[in-house]
Amino acid sequence: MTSESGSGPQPAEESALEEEFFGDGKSLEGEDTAGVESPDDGTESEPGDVEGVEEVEEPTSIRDRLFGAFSATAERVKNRFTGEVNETDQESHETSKTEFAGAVAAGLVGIAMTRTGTKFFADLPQYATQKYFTSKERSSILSAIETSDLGPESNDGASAVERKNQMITDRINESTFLTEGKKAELIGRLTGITEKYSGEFANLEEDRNQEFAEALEESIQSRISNTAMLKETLNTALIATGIASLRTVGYSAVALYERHKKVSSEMKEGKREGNYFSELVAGGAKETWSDLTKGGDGETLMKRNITRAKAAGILLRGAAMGHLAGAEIFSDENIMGAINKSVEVFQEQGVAGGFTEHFGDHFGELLGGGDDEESSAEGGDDDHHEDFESDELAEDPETGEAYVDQGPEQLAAEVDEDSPEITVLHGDELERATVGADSGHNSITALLKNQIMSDPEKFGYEGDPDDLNDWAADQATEVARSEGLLSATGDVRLTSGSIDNLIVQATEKDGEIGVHFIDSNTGKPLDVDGLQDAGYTYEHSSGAAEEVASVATERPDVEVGVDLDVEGEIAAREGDLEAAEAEYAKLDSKLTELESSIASGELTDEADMVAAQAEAETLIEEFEAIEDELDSIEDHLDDLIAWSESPLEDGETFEEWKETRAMAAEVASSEAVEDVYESGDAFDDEIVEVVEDTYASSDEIFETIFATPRIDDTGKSMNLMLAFEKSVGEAREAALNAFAQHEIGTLFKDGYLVKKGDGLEYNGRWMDFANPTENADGSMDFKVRAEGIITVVKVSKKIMDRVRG
Amino acid sequence: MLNPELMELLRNGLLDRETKLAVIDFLVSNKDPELEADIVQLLQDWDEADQSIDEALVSRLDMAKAKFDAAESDLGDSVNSELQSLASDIVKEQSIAKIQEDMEV
Repeated sequence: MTSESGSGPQPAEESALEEEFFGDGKSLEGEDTAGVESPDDGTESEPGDVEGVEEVEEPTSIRDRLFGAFSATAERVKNRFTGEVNETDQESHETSKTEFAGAVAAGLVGIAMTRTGTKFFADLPQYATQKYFTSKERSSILSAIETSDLGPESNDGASAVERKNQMITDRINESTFLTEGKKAELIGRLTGITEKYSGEFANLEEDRNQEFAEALEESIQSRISNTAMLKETLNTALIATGIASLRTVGYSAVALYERHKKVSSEMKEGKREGNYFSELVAGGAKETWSDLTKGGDGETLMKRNITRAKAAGILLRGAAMGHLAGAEIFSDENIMGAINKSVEVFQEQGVAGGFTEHFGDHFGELLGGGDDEESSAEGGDDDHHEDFESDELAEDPETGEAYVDQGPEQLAAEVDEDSPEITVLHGDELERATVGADSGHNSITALLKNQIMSDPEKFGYEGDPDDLNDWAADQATEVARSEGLLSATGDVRLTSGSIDNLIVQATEKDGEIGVHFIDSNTGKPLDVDGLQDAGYTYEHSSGAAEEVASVATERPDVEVGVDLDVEGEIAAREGDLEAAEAEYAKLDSKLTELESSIASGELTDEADMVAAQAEAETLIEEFEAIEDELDSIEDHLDDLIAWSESPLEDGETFEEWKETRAMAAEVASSEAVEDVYESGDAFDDEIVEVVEDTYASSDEIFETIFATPRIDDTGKSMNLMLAFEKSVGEAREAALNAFAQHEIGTLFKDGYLVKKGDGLEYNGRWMDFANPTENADGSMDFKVRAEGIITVVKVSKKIMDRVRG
Repeated sequence: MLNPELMELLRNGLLDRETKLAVIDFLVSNKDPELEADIVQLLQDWDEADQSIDEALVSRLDMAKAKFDAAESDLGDSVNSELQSLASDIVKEQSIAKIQEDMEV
């Protein structure tokens, strides 16, 4: 037996042992090579492929490929104009990080990811992507990859070896035949194999990723260079033919891109019959000119003036003059040269028919006449100067009618007479100063603040940008106060009639900020009294304002006067929130980078990661706290506004008012009320009928109420109110009285006698109770007020006795 | 009537908006047919060159990927061979140990 068993392992036994370790002995190969696809057809790679790949010729440089026929054509086009275009006129096309480069990179990364798998982007060295993507963008892309179905590829090769390593290690450790020394020796060999594999695999990956990065970088730069060459060539042709200067003005006159959308849409609808490009450019010029001269189709003079101002603004922006003052414009030879050349091109080519002469007129008038000598110095011909000097009113290019409406230029002349520091507002400036219905344009202080914030340096601000909002709000408030528009007991408010009809212009003179009111219909300035006479403002000096003012002395967070800077408060808090979000994003990016470093094996110590996570958690808590605080402030401000608009009883504090309001809101949103509303048939016809007939004598109502189950009473009260609103029509007092009777009766039933300070929600507003008064005959009067209506509910002695009893 | 290919390029090509608008301005305002033909040719050549960038990128990536896959396969073969050798040694060691144990018994 011994000899039999001691004859050593037979081949069959050896195979069995190997089978135990490695299955059929082929799985190693199978697992390691499975999934490795050939580049094109997805079939498995064969060992022989290695040689095949190595024999493939290195590709021609991408740059070399593209600079073939294209560069030849580009050179040919440029050569047509040799000597005609100065180098200084050429556009510079930086190949560094730009928005365009980012877009190019994103497109090419997309191609690469679909070609090589989603891990491509994650595998790229960071230096290869940081030129084109911010950390935030990179984190966002990685995050999208992580959460996608595709996900980064697992490292199949490495994991297969690791699995085998573990399997062999287990078997060695479990062996009852091997000594501990032999086991250690075998495991040492195994570890050596694995480490060698891991190291070489990592090197392979690094080499591959390096090649990926180089290919991507070269492609990105090639695409940018390709487009840069095209732009330069086009630019050369455009400048040499004079079309470049036409383009400058053309862009502005027709706002091409926006117009493209409009024209293409209208052509589809059959509203335009002309050639697409003709409609796009020539039509656009004519229409813009029409806007400028006639004020478009606005029904009112103000609307036409705004349209005009917008058209002027478009022209100014497009001619690169929007940010310059008039004097600067006329001292800028290049711009004047561009305009003159544009006019020449228009004249020669007749684009837009009679547009040319009006174009010259327009610039002359719009910009104040210009400077002859400077224009002459640029080589413009005399005819053009005459155009620029023209004081004649232009004619409409289509109808030939002279336009006499007051345009912005006339507005300027009238304003300038009295206030030299006033400038004519155009485009966005005009919008910022014109009264509108939205919260940013419906108060004097908001309008002043808009303008101060849009150009803080002009108004003397030199502080931290983060503090600008508060400063602008303070300045606007101060100006309003100094002009007598705001006081502790009242303020001057805008009427709805001022919308679109009044310009509230912030002015600056000798470091002092002021305000100037202009009637946009007449172009004439208005003083404070004139504003009221014109129906643009009214004095607001209510009890509510006084209440707010008086309580404000006890509550420092309430600004004196009704014109609370709610938006300023909120904006300040939102600024804090944005700062917190920015901090959070920064840290989040840092975390992502650390994770990438750890994943790539560059960073093995996770201490930094843990610290960063802790920091992030702290920041998130702060972030949430700021959010909560912001919500709280917004709620508080909402309450303050509602409080300032509510009728207040003597001695009622803000907190008492808020508590009562909360209780009423709770009742109004109770399930019982909701059930009543939802059922839709919960009207108590009997009560409605009684109320309709007898609301002036209420005993029957109260008797009916006492006989009604308590549940749904509140809902029925609301329905009663609604029923009366509907059936009685204008008799709102009757509706309020009926509602109050029912509510008072319901409260009686609960043993509660209403008193001053009680309030209930009524028709989405607020109903207040005054102190009840007892009459000589023992009856009581309950006075309530809601929606500006005061009504008295009389309760007979009989009922009162019953309540008290 | 504009060349359909050029129209397609202006509508859906990868050119940025500013350049497209410059081309449109040029085509509307230029009155030199020869120059116009050159510009159209320029754009078409540009487009062709631009497409070759994608092709070149894909080619480079495929090559790098194939090279990596092949090298990885080589490495796998090498490791498999070493592991196979180790496995054989383990089997032998176990067999020897088993024989020694049997002999001692």
